[in-house]
Amino acid sequence: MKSEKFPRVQINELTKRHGDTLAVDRLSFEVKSDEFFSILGPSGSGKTTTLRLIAGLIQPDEGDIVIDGQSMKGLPPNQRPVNTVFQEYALFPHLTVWNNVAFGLRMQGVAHSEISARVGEVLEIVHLPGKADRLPSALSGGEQQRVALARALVNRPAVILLDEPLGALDQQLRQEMQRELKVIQAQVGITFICVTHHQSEALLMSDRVAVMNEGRLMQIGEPEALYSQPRCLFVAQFVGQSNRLEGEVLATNETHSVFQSVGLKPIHIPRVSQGMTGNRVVMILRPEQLTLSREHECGPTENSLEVKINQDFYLGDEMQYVVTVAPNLSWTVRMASQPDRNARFCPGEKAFIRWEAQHGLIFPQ
Amino acid sequence: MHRRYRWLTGISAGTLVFLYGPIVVILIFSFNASKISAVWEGGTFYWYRQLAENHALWLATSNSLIIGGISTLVSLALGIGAAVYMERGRASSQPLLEGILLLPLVIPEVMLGVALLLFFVMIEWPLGLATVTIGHCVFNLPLVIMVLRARLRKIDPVWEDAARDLGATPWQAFVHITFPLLRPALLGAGLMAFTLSLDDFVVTFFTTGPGATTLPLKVFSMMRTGITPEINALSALLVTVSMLLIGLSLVFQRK
Amino acid sequence: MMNSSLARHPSFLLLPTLLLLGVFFCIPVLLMFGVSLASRGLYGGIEWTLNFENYLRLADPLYWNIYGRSLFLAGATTVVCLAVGFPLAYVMARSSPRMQNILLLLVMIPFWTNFLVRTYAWIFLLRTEGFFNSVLMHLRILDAPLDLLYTNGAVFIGLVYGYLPFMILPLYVAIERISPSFEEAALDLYASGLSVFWHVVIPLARPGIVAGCILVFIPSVGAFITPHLLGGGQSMMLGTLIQHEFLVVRDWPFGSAISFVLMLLVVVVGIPMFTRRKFWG
Repeated sequence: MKSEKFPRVQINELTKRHGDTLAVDRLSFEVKSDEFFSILGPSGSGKTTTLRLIAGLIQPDEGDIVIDGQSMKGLPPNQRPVNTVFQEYALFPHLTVWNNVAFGLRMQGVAHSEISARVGEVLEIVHLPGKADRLPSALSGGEQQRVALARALVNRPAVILLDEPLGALDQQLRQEMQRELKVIQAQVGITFICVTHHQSEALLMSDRVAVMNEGRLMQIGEPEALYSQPRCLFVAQFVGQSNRLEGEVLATNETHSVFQSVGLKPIHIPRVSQGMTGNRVVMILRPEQLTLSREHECGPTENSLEVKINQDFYLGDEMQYVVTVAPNLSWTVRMASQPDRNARFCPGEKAFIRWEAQHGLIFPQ
Repeated sequence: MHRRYRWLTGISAGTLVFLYGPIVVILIFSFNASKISAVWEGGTFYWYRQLAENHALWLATSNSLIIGGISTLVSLALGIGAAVYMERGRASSQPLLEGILLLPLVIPEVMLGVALLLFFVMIEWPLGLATVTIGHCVFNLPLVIMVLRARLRKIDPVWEDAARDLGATPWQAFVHITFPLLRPALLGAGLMAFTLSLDDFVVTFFTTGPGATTLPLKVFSMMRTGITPEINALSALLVTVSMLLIGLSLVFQRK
Repeated sequence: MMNSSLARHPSFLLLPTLLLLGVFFCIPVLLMFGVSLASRGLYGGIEWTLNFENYLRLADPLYWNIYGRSLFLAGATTVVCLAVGFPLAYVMARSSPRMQNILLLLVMIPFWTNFLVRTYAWIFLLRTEGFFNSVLMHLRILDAPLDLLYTNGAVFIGLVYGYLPFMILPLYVAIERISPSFEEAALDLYASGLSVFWHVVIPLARPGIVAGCILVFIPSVGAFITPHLLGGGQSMMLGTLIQHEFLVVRDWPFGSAISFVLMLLVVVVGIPMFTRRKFWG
């Protein structure tokens, strides 16, 4: 029974200490039912601790976790409507695929006939019907991943937690499984909460993403919002590639502000509040918003800087250039690759980069 | 998780008390002034002084050290060759050889003792220090070989191949590459063998003869003649020596 | 492909070992088998006959209670060591690395302490004028001392005490290799604390359990010091029977027969297990 009154998962002021350090610091967020939700952060950001707190493998020092309106306070993992797909899967090595998947149902005392029906059904969902009698050691990495997912799915929990679910797979398998996880989640309609340090993975799979750093929630939102409207410097730099420039706000008028970095000419940026004039700020630019050309002229709302091409990388559909903007300052530019080899830029060449002033993301330093 | 630990920790603490309680009681009562009773009547070092003046005990100690030293050195000398041969030699496994190397370690000691006794009596070899030392070699050698082989298995033969590729003879490769890598295991195995030899009672009991009383045999005969606090003191000393030897082996392992 | 540099090393490396173990182990064991087929001479010597009388004598009901006691005490020792040792081995394996080292040391110390001394400790505790009786009488719980020493119970305690470290160490090694995430996964899949043990920890620790049981059972069944010192003449086991036949009755052929049968038992039970590489880690 899905109740629309409550969000599926509510995290309230959750705090967990490891010795003197705060692994999770007054964390609050909500996850809706049917949502594919990701927690993204670097290692040590507290994302795995959060997951373990939700699973009940550890208990919080303060705060509460509410699932479908029910507090999980003090409940051990075996009494929570939550199942986990563990990092490296933790498939029981002495049990066959079938027995691994059936484990949770057996522990709950589900009738034999129902167990075999449900296990069969879930193995179908993860495309593993023929491997039921194998031991985990006889499976490939991708197959193990599916068994781990099946083992959680078969219990029909309110929430499935995934701890770096694709971390042990190679690049190609990873991309395949990213799409498949998303498809399966939509198919079964169970809430997925996934922890990852891989930003592209989080953006690709999730309906919404929470970015964590040093135990705190930095920003929560849809993938697009995180990328195009990051609310802090950390999110701007952690999600997606970025070029960074430090400087000072010189002046602000009705339409835009002007920004000055040492050794460069003044740059137009989106309008900031009057009070910021004279403040030191950081500007972030996405590599794909930069255009490289041999001509100097640019539009009225654009900025242009002279640069030296440092390195070029051919990536098939696109080109990446590393350019020197100023001594000790390199940026990355991404452009669709020109089919004509002669139209491309060569290392050592002088050129100009252009970008729309509104694309500059400004953060206080 | 922690709740699950609590009763397990309780049982574990009880097990440790069971392991150490009797030893601690002996240690305490080795300082007891009373001669006959297991009731505390004040502290004394008297029993330790008695031990120091017991010449037969010193003789037994020196016998133990001689037997332990010789059997350890012989086992190391023979064992290193056998271990290298078995781990670096032809790949085919030799079940009979493996069995012979294993059996002395796994059969109850009494059997080894009586078999040796039978043998020495039959060939009319007078029982004494030599027969005891041989007996100790029989259980120490397989142990040393086992420890050294385990270590050799972890040393990649590629290093020896590299040394050979760089012009070393097999002997040079062994001296400059294998042996230095094997040294911690040699020390560990040597200490184990020496401790085992010092502690052995059963094999010694069956293969000993006149003039070859070892420390454990002496303890045994003292126990037969009557329980005195002197035995407590001797036991306390032996426990201390064992702890020192473990400490020593840990220091070697660190290096 | 290049051979290992020592691959063609001549067998003189092995020869001294073969010689020593051949002469002083294989020949004595074969000799023991030969003697077991002979008969006892009039004055305790050996009369070289060829018969199986000594083996037939083993079936004499006279010895049945000794076999029974040996097997029962060794079995009970194994079971109790497993039951007592498992929790400690588990706690060791799941402690912080620092605590693990301390606990490991605490288990190693008795392991390397003189067996005779450790058996003696129980004499001191259990005998009529011993520690337990003194304390209990001092506290006026008892009026007269109990006969604790020279009983099956004393032998049993001595065996458990003597061989417990042989159980704990292999168990610890086996449990330490089990990733804690398996236990977390089981908890997550609705297992209670006890079912986690039963369905996950114990099956995965099986190599250690088998190794520990063999390492305790074999020396227990052939134990000599413990039944000799704690059981006296009252509680004879196979080890003491062999010693009795050799040194007291001086019936070497019969003693050899018992010894040889016991050795076959060990070979049949133990060798297949011990020769697995996995066993030694």
